[in-house]
Amino acid sequence: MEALKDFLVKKKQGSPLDIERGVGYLSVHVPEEIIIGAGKVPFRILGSGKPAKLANAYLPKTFDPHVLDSLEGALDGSYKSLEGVIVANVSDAHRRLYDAWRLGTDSAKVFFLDVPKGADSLRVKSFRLALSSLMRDMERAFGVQISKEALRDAIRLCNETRSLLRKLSDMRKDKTPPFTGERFFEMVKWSQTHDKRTVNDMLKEYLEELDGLEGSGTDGPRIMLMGSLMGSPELIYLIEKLGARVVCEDLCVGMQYFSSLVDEDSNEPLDALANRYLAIPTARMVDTESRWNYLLRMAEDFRVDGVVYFTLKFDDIYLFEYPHIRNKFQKAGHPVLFIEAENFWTSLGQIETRVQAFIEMLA
Amino acid sequence: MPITETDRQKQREYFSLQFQKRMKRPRSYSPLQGSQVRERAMYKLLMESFRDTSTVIWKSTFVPSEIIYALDAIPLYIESFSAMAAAVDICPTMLDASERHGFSRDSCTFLRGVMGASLKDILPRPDALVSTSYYCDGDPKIFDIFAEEYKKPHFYLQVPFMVDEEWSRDILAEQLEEITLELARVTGKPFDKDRLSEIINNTNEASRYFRQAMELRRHVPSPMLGCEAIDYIGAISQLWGSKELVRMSRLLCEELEERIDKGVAAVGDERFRLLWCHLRPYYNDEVFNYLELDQRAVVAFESVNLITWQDMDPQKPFESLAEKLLANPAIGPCERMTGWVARMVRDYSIDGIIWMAPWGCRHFNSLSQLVKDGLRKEMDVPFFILDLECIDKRNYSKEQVRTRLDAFLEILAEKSG
Ligand code: SF4
Ligand code: SF4
Repeated sequence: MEALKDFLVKKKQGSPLDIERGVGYLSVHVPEEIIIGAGKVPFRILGSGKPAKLANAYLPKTFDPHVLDSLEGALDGSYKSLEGVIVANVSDAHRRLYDAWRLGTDSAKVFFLDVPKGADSLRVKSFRLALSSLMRDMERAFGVQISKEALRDAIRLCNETRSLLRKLSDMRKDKTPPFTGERFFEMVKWSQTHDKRTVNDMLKEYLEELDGLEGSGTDGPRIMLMGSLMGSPELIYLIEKLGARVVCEDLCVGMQYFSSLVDEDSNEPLDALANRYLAIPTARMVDTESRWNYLLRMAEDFRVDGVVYFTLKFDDIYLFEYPHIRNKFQKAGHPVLFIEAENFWTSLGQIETRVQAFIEMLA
Repeated sequence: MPITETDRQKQREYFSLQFQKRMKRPRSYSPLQGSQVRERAMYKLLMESFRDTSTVIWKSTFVPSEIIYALDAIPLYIESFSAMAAAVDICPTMLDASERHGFSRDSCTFLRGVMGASLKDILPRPDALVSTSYYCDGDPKIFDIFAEEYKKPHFYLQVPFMVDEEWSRDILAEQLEEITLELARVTGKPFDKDRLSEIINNTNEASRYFRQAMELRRHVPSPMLGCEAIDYIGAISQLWGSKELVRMSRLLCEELEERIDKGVAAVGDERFRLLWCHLRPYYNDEVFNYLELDQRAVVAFESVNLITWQDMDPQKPFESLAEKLLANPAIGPCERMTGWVARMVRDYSIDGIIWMAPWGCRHFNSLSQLVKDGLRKEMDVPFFILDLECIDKRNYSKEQVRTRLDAFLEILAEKSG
């Protein structure tokens, strides 16, 4: 637990990236197991938190802000301690991030992964092929072999992380959860940026600490938060500061990360990975109906009072999904607040009044 | 309020009237016969798709219409509906409707236009829908939403980005076959492989003519206005595999040849030759007229009219269609697009490039700077990124666009001494 606290403190002070053998990845659809199988440490790139300046020389301003500020980090050297980076074809923006990262930096190891938007058998097959191409590229670049055994070990390790986070997350179903939504966000983020063994030890320790502890904090309105990627918890902090509590989230730094486990017993670990990573019901996947069922179940399981739907400007996936999902939530009796922001760290001031009004309405 | 069949009938008639007006509109040029055939074919297809007895399959840009024709169904290229609607000036109300519904003004107007049209229920109803993973994220997403609204199945084609991977073609071919059989099943239309082979032959024939037209258009001075040529893309995306496309492409070639023989130029005393990338404004011809007719800067070629694939093998229709899809320059690392643009600059003796950048089109705008920089390493050709909407005329200002074009033309003038 100390390490987690340490990390949280350091992070607030903006400490430099201190990871060794790190391989960066940006999307929750990239199997961390492959990175671990190659003897590296997966590091989720969540944006450098800097406004795009250098990045605009490569990509337009009317572009996914998360991609721009990750590129900014790549160009200004923030990620130079990483040994490589995997960019996945999860959106139009990410595809070109792959080009810009390659052309704008001298880091030779920029890998690409195609990720289908469907999860039926042919799409899974296609994803498995894409994963083997990625493995081949990484093996060549790092001079390693990624064995089936190594993948199986990595699957077990990551499954443990997922199960631990799920246990923690489930505690939020209680009337007064023992930690804030902000703290939970930090834990998930931390789990995506550190060596999984350390992560699992810390999470276990934390769970023990919490054992038998009474929940504390407000029992204000219970909020489900969803939408574009968030690299930092400012919005959660704001919601909680105003008296509500974020009890569940459809975010990739959140419940999407541990939405399901990888089959540990499969003879073909790559098949198991392909199946699981396409089963993550993110908004980019085309099956809107199963995504809706997943969202509704979440809202019901966590007994939410309202939904905050957040999108980054120019994040088409959410901009196109929003009206559809809003209507469904409203029909199901869940009020929705829509927030669109330029980025997740500077423009929250302007939305405070709207969040406040929403919470008052729910209370 | 539910829309009745009488309302729909009225909508159809209204649309039909607007379309006819559009075809009779005064033009700044006299259209080629091929272009007239094209407009009529597009109109006919749209009207047929309104009929209750028709089997209509909504498709996005790169879904090969061949598989739909093979089932004797109508491929309705749904984004082109927005373009047509812009041309007959009903797009603003469609866009308003989509915005009132909650769609962001920052997203693609083609897609929002269709969304608005669907909310107003003025679209021919689909029997099934097929989308592809490229060009853009919005496309499969809204197709899936439509599918739910119209209660019809949606199939989605995953086109791999890494075109050079050996498995890319095969996995794509497998999907194409699967989707075709599924479409046959849900529409109750039998699939006949020989029929598909015939249709592939039609595509081969038409693409041979289009390739020939590409050759002919290298001629200086240009035998055809870009303003007219760029409109071929709508038909191209929708009519691949049809006899009409063969006919119009043949006519196009014959007329281009004739013009070249007779020494007819699109623009007298051509000053500059431009390459136009992306689509065009559909709500008026002003930008093209200004460039081509007033300023004699002819758009000698358009990136959208590029044929990048070889003849297909009718005996291996799905593999061939997969190869055709993968030949698209926008797939794969940006160097691929840069390579094709460089080639067009050379082939068409281009003096300057206009890269049109509609606000909401992430896919295309994201390539602009990358291609511009890539080209700079290879050649010295002025590259102008022009922010302009394709179908949303609400913020269009003739003066502003002209001022910007003037600045670009000055650069070209200086360069040519
Ligand atoms: S979902 Fe949107 S914000 Fe998230 S990474 Fe993809 S494009 Fe960016
Ligand atoms: S204009 Fe761009 S964003 Fe819109 S449908 Fe076409 S490719 Fe997609």
